[in-house]
Amino acid sequence: MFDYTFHWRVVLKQWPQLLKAGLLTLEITVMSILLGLVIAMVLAVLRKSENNTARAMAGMWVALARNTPALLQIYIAYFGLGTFGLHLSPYISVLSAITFNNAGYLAEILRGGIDAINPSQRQTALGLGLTPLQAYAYVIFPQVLKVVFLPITNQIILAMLNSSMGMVIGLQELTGMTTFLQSQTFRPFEFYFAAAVIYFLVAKIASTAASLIAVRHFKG
Amino acid sequence: MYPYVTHFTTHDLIFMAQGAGITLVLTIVSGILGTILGFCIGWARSTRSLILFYIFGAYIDVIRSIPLIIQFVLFNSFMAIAGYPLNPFFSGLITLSIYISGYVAEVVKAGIESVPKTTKMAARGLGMTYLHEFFYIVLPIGTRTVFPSWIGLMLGLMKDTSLIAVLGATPPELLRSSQIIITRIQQPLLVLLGAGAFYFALCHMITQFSNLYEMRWREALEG
Repeated sequence: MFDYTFHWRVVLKQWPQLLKAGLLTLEITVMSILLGLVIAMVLAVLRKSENNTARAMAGMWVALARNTPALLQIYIAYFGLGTFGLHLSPYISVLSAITFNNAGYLAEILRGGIDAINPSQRQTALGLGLTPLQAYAYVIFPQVLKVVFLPITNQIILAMLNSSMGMVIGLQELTGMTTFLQSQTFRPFEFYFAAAVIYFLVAKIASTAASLIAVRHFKG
Repeated sequence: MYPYVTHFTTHDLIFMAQGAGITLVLTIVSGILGTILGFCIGWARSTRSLILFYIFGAYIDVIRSIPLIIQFVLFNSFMAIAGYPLNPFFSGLITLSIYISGYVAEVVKAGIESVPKTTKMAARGLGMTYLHEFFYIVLPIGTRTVFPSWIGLMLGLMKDTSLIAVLGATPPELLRSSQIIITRIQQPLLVLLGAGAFYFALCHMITQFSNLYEMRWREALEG
């Protein structure tokens, strides 16, 4: 069945390139999650406001981000925005598309977390004279963080998986670099297997670290 | 043959509609296959056997940690290495089924474990065997509990079928058809917004339906 000889030496020779590309993947993941969290907090607060326009706009962002494929969002950022004269580099377009996607999903997660907290917390905080910004920053979001910590960890791993779609527009993150290297050496299985191992290790380390932090800081 | 024009023609609309049809076919077929496989795995994980729990746990872990593009190419080149090269469409279909089975297994396990222990013990107390209890008590209750999550997974699957283009699968699905049209007419935004409208309309409608279902189920539980 297997009259194919595996050539792993080629992969080992290119290992530094793969690791460098892996670093780019991590960079995109971390930055898109941080930016997405900031935007998602604003979106989650807007969706609970009394202003109809703000609620509708935040709802539209979340609906668009969650109901369209991430690849489509990357295409619109890279190809579509050129119609308006806005030519983004592959890195910036992947970063902005994944941030847009993350913001939508994280806003839903944060909304679920805010709903899980007793609504009297917000009323009491406002009644004590805190401005809405102070109420959300000091009272509500610290409690929300405990509830939503594990779903946010899940979303971090999903963001890392979504960053692999940057390959389609030529970004040399891990998947793009793997495609480039295997096109030179005609060893797709060996290279993609190595990339899969790197992704699996990073995801495993991230989720183990997250569960350790959850157990230590939030008592389970 | 039609003349070469650089604007969006009716023929292009038909081409995109065919792509949308291929997307739906991919979603439904791999959804069904993946749900069946995921159901078996989730059921196996919910039993008291530790071996099954850890082996399938590792399987689910691996599938959920590797990007779908890499899974597609890895499976395709593995079948080629093993000496059975598959049509890229079918290898993509099988990869999608395996991918979604990992997520469905988790949802099924959650559904099985959501049935209150008292209900299960009452069923066994009435003289039902394990299989009786599973198919007549646990399954109806568990299915209704996790139905919205399962619908969410199927919608995610529909959005993920857009990645099968990376294998060069032959009847092109919606996003790949849009790409082909864009290379000719050079108006990316129009075509992409059209494709996005299709995904958005379908996902939004089905999500509203599932929210309605969840509200009715919630009322039925409390009322």
